[in-house]
Amino acid sequence: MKKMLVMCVVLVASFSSLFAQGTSEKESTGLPYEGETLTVSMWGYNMDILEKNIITPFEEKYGCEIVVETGNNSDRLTKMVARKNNPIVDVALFAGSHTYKAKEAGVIKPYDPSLLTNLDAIMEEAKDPIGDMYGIGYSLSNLGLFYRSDKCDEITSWKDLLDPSYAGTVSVPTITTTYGPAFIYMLTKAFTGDFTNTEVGWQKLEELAPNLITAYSKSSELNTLIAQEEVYIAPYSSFAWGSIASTGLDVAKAIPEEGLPGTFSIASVGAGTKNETLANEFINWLISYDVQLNEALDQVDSPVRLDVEVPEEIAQNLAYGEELVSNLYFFDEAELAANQEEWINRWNSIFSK
Amino acid sequence: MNPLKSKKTMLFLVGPGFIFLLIFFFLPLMYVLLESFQGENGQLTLVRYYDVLKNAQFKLVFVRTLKMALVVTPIAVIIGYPCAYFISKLKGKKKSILTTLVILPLMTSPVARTYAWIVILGKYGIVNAFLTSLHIIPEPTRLLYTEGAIIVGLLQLFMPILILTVSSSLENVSSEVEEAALSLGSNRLGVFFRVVVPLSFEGLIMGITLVFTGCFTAYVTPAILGGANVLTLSTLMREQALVLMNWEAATVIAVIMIITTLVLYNGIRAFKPRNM
Repeated sequence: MKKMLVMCVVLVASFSSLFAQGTSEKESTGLPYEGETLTVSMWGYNMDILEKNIITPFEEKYGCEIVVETGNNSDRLTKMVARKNNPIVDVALFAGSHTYKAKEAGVIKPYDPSLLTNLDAIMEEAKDPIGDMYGIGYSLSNLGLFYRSDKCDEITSWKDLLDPSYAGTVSVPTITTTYGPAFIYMLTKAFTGDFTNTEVGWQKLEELAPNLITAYSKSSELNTLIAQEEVYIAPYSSFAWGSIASTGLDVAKAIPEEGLPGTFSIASVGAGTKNETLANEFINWLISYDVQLNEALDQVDSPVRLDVEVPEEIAQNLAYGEELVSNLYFFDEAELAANQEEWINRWNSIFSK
Repeated sequence: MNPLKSKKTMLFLVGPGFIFLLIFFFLPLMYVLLESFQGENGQLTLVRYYDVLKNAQFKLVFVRTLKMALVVTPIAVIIGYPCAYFISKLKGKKKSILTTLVILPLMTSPVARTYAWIVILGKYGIVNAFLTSLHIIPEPTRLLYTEGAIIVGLLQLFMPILILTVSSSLENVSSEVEEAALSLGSNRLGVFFRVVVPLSFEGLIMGITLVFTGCFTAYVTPAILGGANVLTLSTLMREQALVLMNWEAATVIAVIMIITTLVLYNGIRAFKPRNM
């Protein structure tokens, strides 16, 4: 009998709490976008940190609910194009190349600068990397040059990759990756002094090809190659430095005399959004001081805001610092996209020999 | 037996599988097939095939993929068939232990199995360490990111399938048939090639088809063990679909892969012994 009584009390208490919760949800919070939903298309990496730094604080501030659609660039863009006539994405986060493709496919639209109050605080190059205000760069990354300091002399140039003494221990990003085309441009600059005559870059790649252990298509592949001591020298994406350093090997970073290619993760407004103001608010949120600082401190995204400062031990795992940023080159995504098919065929013909 | 009842039972047994395959396999396959013959305005055309087939890169990759599948499949048969024969002749505990050993690799993720080869075939991996310690080679040689690495990886991946398919087929070959052939004057080798192999031909065809198709369409193993140096049809198809967003070319490559495996399947059936 006692047991029955306890169970009844527990049941009543549970229903009461459910009812209370239901009631509290219906109470007005007075927040500006209460009851609205914002759909954000983004990568699925570090979702717990992104929830903590970006999504939950935004929902709490504006009262809306954020629905996240995750996946890699190609998958998400394909979905957006397939749903072009019935769009659901309000904000899309893509790499530069895919933002350009999204612009060409008509699935994103220009942002409203009057709503982006944080725009003045970010790097000039990040304000409109695609052109026509089709997106803002909210996170910076760069292609660095890593080398094994116990196996190689100090690396000072992209030309060093072709040094015969490193044959068989070099890897480079494939042409289909974000930095693949940028690598051809850097070879061009190293051997001609500028980026114009890419024919020279391709010739140098052909010379380099037999010396490569392989070309990698993911940063995780490069990490494996480094950990297995297959690779002593390679270009790497800045966000992968933490993993490279954690191999425990004698690894060093070089800033070659020709500079480094940089790129942005770009946030854009979905073309068919029904929440355009809220979408712009979200993009503005991404470049707010607190979000940029917290993302940098958690080593997820490198800041594009010039006023964000992070400690030295964190800075070395990010695309951060005046010396590095002043050595970065940002390439025209339209030109990269126009060359893509031809360059992929050319790359394949070199590596399929 | 009541034929109506039997028909109903057959429908009941086959129906769910048939409906599943119809919805999730045949219809999408037909869609892919039709799509590959459609032009931009929906008209029937072969232009997509022409565009893909005239590409020198495609020809090179097609020949390479075909070559690798044609190398792996006979090796799998040469190693796997005797193994399957041996297992089929065993009884009791020994048989279940050996069958489990064959199945065991299939229970591991293909990605994990393929990554294991990176450790084995790496510069400081087991193979190079063994060869250098015996002074067979003066210094570690490149084994990874070669066609050889892919062939080894595919062989490990698909040989268990051939062994399982053939051994279940061999179990239907009665040992009395073999004894009868021996008593009629044939030697052991003759019995094997003229009695056992023809009687297990259906299983062998199935095994060969599964291994060849698996090798010809594999993605993970060539992508990991071949890297950028060894492009195959699957990696090329991914590149067309997900990098260039050229779904039309990817569709054509998919259809060509299907046609190739169908041609092989029917080609092998032509070698089927008469009266079997």
